[in-house]
Amino acid sequence: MQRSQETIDALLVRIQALESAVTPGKSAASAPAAVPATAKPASPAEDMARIAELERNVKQLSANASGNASMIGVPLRGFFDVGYAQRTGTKEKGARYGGLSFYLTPELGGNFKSLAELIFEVDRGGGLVTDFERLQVGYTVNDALTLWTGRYHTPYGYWNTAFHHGAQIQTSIMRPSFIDFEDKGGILPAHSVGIWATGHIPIGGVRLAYDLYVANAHRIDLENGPGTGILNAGNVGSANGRATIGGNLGIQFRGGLEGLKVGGHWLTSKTEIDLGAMPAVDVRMAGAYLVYDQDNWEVMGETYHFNNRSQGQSRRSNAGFLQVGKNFDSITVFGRTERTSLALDDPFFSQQAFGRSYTRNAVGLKYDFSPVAAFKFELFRHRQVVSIVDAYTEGQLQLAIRF
Amino acid sequence: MKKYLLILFGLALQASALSLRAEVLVIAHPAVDLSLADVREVYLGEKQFHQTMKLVPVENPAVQKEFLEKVMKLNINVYSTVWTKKAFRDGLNAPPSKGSDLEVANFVRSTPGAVGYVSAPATGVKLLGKL
Repeated sequence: MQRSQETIDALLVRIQALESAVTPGKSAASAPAAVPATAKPASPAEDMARIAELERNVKQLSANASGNASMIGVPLRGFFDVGYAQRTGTKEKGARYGGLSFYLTPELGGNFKSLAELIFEVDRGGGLVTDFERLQVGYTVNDALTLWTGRYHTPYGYWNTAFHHGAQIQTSIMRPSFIDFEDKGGILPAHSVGIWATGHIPIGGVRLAYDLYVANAHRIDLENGPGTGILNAGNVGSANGRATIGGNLGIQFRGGLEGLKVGGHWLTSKTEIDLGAMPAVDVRMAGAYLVYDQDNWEVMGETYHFNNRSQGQSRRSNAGFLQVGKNFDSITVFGRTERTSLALDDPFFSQQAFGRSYTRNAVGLKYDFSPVAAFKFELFRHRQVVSIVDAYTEGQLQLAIRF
Repeated sequence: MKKYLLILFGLALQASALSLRAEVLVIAHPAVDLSLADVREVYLGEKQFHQTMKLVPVENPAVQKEFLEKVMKLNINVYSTVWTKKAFRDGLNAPPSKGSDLEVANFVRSTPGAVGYVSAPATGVKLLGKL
């Protein structure tokens, strides 16, 4: 019994030494002194307690040594994806790489925080494009108010802030085309530069979440002639001294309806076209969205209604999508329909390269073969009517990783 | 000698069996008062403040599995994805990990706003729940 006691004591000393070694700032000298070997024999109950403590400590040291790095926060995080695409009616097909996004979330002390995201991607010609995707500094007053300033993802609808370049956390490969990035098919300003207030307030059994933002007025740059424009966030200021102002108000349900969020959003801006060479457009957008992400269902729908005004005339346009997904363990299948009906004589759309009415229907699946990697397949039919019908079917494969 | 080794082995097995049914004690700094539903929100990154006090949750890898099962009702993969989304969308960092019950208890005791969980009772902290 005496030898067992000595063995236990020796093990405790080693554990304390190990604890000191794995705990920064803690020296071995600070460890409690070992029980002397000459101490009187402990009772069986005391032995049991010591062994239980020893077991617990060994288990904790072991778990700590192999601690899940992703849980303690990795200084540099990101996403990247590679894939393959093939479209009917064209010879273009083959492997492609999507993008590599790095982001950091340094805490600045107190209630200050920050978020920086850098993206590397390729343009349609295969050239490398880098961009400061986001560069934000924020101050959290309380749960009801965080103030951000810098360049951020414009908080309209749900998709734009929820997924953006995070391909691995997005079920589909493609974003709905009209809310894609400005240079990839989008017709809305996916990025803004300015200030953004966000927060949530519990009310009864629900939570009221809001976003309010004031940003540099977006503009449309025509670098390749009329009808080829891309929305510009105005990284170095507003071209016309005006602002884009918008908001998003949503209700997040709790209890039996946990996972359901419904809300409305709006945006106004005076959009300059070709640096004032064409009449500016008063953009007035309002819409609604619904998200249900619970019990293995993923339902998302967003609508956007425009009543834009230029040269004394108002023009109405609409856009929307609905995606329904069902998760079966590590596989999620989904279907999505999206359509836009854009006024052809509204310069806000007609001067944008992608501002044409279209319909698109897609089906696909996502296979999460590991917690940080997913394989996706998507097949969609796109139909656009301008002066002639442009319709095609495209299939895509994607391997999306997060780190 | 052989007899004592057998006794030691038996006691170790019994202790192992006890540890498999580990309890989770959710603790907080004495000035923090939260329900377990609030604690879940804290560890989801949805609740960052208790009144005007900033909350500081910490993980305890040794009993994290039990904590996630009993309090969060999530597995580790889903929990990890939740924090990936919070970091990417809101610029929030996941709670940092401490090395043992002792470290968690010491941190919670000495840090205003701290919330943690341990497998054995600790002194000088507020017990929010035991599961």
